Amino acid sequence: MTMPRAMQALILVTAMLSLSAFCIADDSFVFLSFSLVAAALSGVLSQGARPRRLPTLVAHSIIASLVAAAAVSAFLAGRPPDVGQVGFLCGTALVIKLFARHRAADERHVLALGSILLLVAALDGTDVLAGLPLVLGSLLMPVCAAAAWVQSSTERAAAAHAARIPSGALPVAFEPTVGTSPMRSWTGFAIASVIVTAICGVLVFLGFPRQGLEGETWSRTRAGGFSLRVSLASDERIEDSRTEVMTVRWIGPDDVAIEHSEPLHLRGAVFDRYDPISQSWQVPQQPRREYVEGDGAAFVPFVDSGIDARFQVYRQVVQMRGLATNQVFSVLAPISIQAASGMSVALDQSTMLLSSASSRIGEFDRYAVAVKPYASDRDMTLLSGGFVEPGPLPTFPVAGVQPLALELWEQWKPRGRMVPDLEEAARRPAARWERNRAVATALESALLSGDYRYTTDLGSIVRRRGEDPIVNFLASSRQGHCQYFASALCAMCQSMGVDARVVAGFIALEYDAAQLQYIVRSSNAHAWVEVRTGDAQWTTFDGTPPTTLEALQAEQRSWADGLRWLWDPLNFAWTRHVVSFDVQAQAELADRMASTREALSRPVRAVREALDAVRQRLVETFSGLVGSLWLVSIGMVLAASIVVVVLLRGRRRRTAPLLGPGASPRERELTRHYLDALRIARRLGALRRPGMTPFDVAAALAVRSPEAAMHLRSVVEGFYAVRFGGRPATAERCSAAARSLMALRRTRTL
Amino acid sequence: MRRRLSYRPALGGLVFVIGVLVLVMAVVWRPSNLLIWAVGTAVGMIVVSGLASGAMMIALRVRRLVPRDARVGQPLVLQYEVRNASWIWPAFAVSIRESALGPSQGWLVSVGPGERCVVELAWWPQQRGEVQLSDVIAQSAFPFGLVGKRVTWRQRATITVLPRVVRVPAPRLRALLDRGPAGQRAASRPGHGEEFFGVRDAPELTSLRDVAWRRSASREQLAVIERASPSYPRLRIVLNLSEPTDALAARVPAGVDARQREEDAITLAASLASSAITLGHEVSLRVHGLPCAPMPAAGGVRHLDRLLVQLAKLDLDAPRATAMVSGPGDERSATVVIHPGRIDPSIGGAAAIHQSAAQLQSLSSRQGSAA
Repeated sequence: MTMPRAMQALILVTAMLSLSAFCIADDSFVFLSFSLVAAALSGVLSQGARPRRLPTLVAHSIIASLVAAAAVSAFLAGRPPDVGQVGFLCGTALVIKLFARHRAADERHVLALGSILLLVAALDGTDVLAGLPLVLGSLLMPVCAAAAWVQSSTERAAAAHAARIPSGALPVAFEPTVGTSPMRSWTGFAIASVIVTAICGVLVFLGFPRQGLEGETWSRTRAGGFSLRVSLASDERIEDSRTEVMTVRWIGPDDVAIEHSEPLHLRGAVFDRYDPISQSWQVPQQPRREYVEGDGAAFVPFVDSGIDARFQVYRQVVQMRGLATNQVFSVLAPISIQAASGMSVALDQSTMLLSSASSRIGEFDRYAVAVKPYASDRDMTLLSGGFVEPGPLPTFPVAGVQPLALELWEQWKPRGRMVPDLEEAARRPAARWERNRAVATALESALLSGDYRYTTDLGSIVRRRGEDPIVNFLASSRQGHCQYFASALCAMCQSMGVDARVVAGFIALEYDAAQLQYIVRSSNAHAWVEVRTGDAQWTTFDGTPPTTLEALQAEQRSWADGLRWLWDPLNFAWTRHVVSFDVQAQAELADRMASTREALSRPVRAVREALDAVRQRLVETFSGLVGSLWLVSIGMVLAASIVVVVLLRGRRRRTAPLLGPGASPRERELTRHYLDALRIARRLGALRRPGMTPFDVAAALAVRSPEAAMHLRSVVEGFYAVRFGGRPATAERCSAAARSLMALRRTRTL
Repeated sequence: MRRRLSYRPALGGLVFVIGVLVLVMAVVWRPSNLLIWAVGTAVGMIVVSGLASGAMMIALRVRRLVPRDARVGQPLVLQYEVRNASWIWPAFAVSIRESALGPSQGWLVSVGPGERCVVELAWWPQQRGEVQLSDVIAQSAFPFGLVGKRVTWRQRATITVLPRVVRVPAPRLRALLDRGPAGQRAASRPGHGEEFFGVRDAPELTSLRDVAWRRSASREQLAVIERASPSYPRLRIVLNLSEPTDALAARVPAGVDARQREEDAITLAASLASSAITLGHEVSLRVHGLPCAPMPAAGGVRHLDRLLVQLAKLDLDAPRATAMVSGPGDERSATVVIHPGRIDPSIGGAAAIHQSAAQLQSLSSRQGSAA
C-alpha cells in the first residue's frame, strides 16, 4: 500500500470511529448503521484505477442545503439547535464529504467534522461503547491531521511550483523527494504520536482541576441519571440512556426472589429545603451518621437491638453495573447490610440514607440490604436514633405556591371526613401526622389526575422572567419531568404546613423474570416525595404518573438489551475509572503518588548515603601532598582518555561519509591517509575547488612540487582501488599509502 | 557551514490554541471527563508538534551540491543532499530553498532516520550575470502547521547565469559569413580535406586516386599526394558597448528600454557565437567599452562555454571606455559588429557586417528561442 493510500484509509477509519462515537453517545443506531455503510462504500468507490467521487460543487451544495434547512427549522422552532442536532448535521456532512474526497482540503474537512463529532460524543456520551471509539478516534486524530497536513502542503508546493514557471519557459516537473522507506518512517511517527498523545491525554485527565464537586461523582451532575442535586433552573432535555446502572434482586421474607407489588423506590438523596435563588433543592444540614463495618458474610444491623427482623423483612441484592458511586441505594427502611469485609457503610439517621465511607469511588459495587418497607413507628424511631421532636410547621419560601396548593386542596380534599386544621396540627402531633397524610394524598391525586403531563423535553416550555419554575409548572405549563412533579408536590405540601421532602434515586420498573431481578437503567433515575406521617415515619408519595413511566420504559426497550451482559461489566469499569473520576479520586491518586514517591525515595536516599560515604573516604584518602599527586594523576589519565576517545570518534566520523556503514578498520585507515594527503596538498597550495577530482589536485600540485604530486597520486590511487575498484584493503596497500603519505609530508614546494 | 534554527508562529497554531482554550471553557461550563480527555489529546497534539518538528529539524543536515551554470529562460535544477542525522525521528514535509533565489523551493516528503537523499529545486533565471548564493533554508511546519520551524545554513557559492541564446538559422548565418573573407581554407597540416598539401613517398599503394604519377615516374618510386587538413571558417564578433546606457537611452526610440537593448545585443552576440560554433565555425569575441579580455578564435563546446561566461559577466553598470580594444586582426575572418543602438561603421573595418540589437527581435520572432 502506498503512503497516500494508507493515509486515506487511516482518515476513513478515524471518520468511522467519530461517527460511531457520536451515534452511540446519541443512541442513534439507525444513523450509525446508515453512516457506517455509507462511509465504507465511499472507501470502496474512491479506490481503484477509476475512482468515482462526488463533484465538490454537488457535495457543498447538499451540505449548504442541509445547514440552511437546519437553520430554518431552528428559527421556526424559536430556539437554537441542540448539541445532538449539530452532531447529526456534522455526521451527515462528513458522510457526504467522504464521497467527495478530491484534494487534501477535503481530507481536512473530513477531519474537522470528525473532531466536532468526537466533541459532541464527549458531551453526550458516558457509555463505554461510545467512549472506546472516542478515545481511539482522538488518539488517531493527530496522526490523521499530520497525514492531511503532509498531503496538503505537498499539494501547495506543487501549485506554487507550477505558478513559478514563467510563461513560455521550459517547464520542469514537480518531483517531491521521498526517502527509501516512507511507510516505515510514517509508521514510526504514528506510533510515537499516539503514545505521546495518550500520555498527555492521561496526564491532563488525571490532573485537570475538578473543583466544586466534592462528594459527587462527575457523571452525576448531568441532567439525566441520578444526581445529588435537584435543580429546576435548567431547561435541557434529560437523557433517556438505556445504560444499565444496576440490577436489584428483591428477595421476599420466604427467601424467594420475587417482583414487588409496587415499583421499588431506591433512595439515593434527600432534599428538604428549596432555594428560590438557585431554584434548586438543598440537602438537610447536620446529618447524624451511624457507621457499620461489613464482615463479608452476615448482615450487620445498623441498630444493635430492638428491631424485629423476623417479619416483613425483605432483602435487596444490588449489583452495580454502569454507575460507580459511593451512594448505597436502598428502599426505605434499611435495617442491616451485608457487605465485603472491611467495607464501612454510613447510615444517615435523619434521612435513612446509606453511603459508603470509603474514599474510593465505586469500590462498593455489590451489596445486600435488608429492608422493612412497612416498618413500624417503633422500628423507625430506633433506626432514627431515638424520638425526634417535631419542629415548627414548615413553610415554603415561594409565595405563589400556597394559593395554587389551596386551590387544589379545595378541589381534591377528602369529602365526608374531617381533616385537622393547622392550629390543631401545631398543637397535637397525631393530628399533624393525620393532616400531613390527608393533604399529601389529595395533592398527589391532583397531580395524577391527568391535568399535568410528563415530558423530558423542557425546551418548549415558556417561562416568564423571574417566575419560579414550580409556580410555572403548577399554573401555566403543567408539564415537566419527575423532578418537577416531585418539587411541585413537596412545595405545595410545605406551603400548607406539611412536613415533606424530595427524594432522588432510581425507580425499579423493569423486572427480568428469567433472571429474577430488576434491571435499573440510567433513564430510571427518578424523584419523588416523602411526607412525615408519624413520629419517625415517612411515607412515599409520587406525583409522577406511573403509567407514563412504564410506557416510557416499554418504549425504550430494544433488542440490544439482551446483549448488555457482554459489555455491562466493561461499562461499569469504564464508569468507575473514567466517567466518575472526580476530585475525590484525584485526591486519592495524589495520596497514592505521594506514598509511592516516599517508597521510591528510600533506595535513592540509601544510594545518596553510600555516595556520601565514598566521598568522605576519598577526601580522607587524597588529603595531603601524596593524595593531591594521586588526584592529579587520575585527572590527567581521565583527561587523556577523554581526548583519545574524542580523537577516535572524530577520526571515525571523518571517514564515515566516504565509506558508509560496515567499513573495515583497514578501509578506514586508507581513507584517513587519503584525507590527510588532500589536507597536506591544500597546505602545499593545491586547493581543491568544486568540481576538481583528486587527480586534478595532483596536477595542480605538480606545478609546485612534482614529487609531492607523485606521492599524492599514489595515495589517491590506493584509496580509489579499494573504494571504487573493489580491491581488498590489504596491509601492503595500507603501508604503501602510509609511506607515500610520509613522503608527502616531507616534501617541500619549489 | 553555519546553522541557525528559528521558529515562526503560524496563524493555524494561534487558531488551534484558541480552540483548546474554548474547549477548556466548555469543560468548565459543562463538566465531563470525556471532554477533559479531549483537552488532553489537544494538548498532546501541541506536544507532538513541538517534539516531532523540533527533533526533526535539529537533526536535519542540508548540503548544496555543486551548482552548474544557468542560462536565462531555461530552468536550472539545483540539488541538495539532505541527511537525517537522527536515528529515531524521520522528517516529513520539508521545503528547501535559497535565500537568494526567492520563493523557488524543493520539496522533501519524507526522509527516514539515518537516511540521505537528494532534493531538487528548479529555478528559472531571468537575468544573466553572477548570482551569489548564500543561505540554504530548510523549513517545515510539520505535523500540524502550528509553528513553522526554519533551519538556515550559510553556504556561499556562485552561479553564472549565461545570456539567453536564440538559434540563428544556418542559411542566415552563412549569408553573414559569405559577405566577409571567411571562406573555407586549408590548414598547414596534413588531413583529409580537398586541398593539396604535399607529396610523400608511400611504401604501399593505398589508393590509385592518390598516386602522384608524374613524381612516381620521375623518381621511380611510388609517391602519393597528401591532402591538407580542412580549417573551418572564422567569425569575429565585436560587441560594441562603448556607449553608456544613459547616452544610448537618448538615441533609442521612445518606449524602448536602453538597458534591454544592450542585453539584446549581448543575446545576439551569444546567439551568433552559439550557432556558428554549432555549425563548426571558429568564433572570437571582442567587447568594446567594457573590461573584457578578447577571446581568440576557436571552436568547440568548451570555447563556447568560456565565451558565454565572458558575456554573462559583462557588467553594464561599469564605466564605459571609449577607446577601441586592440587585438590581433584576422583578415580571414568574417567580422560581425553588434551595436545596441545606432550602427557605428568605423568599428570592425571596411568588410565588417554591422548588426543592430533590434534585429534580435526579428530573429527570435521568426525562429523562436532555443539552444
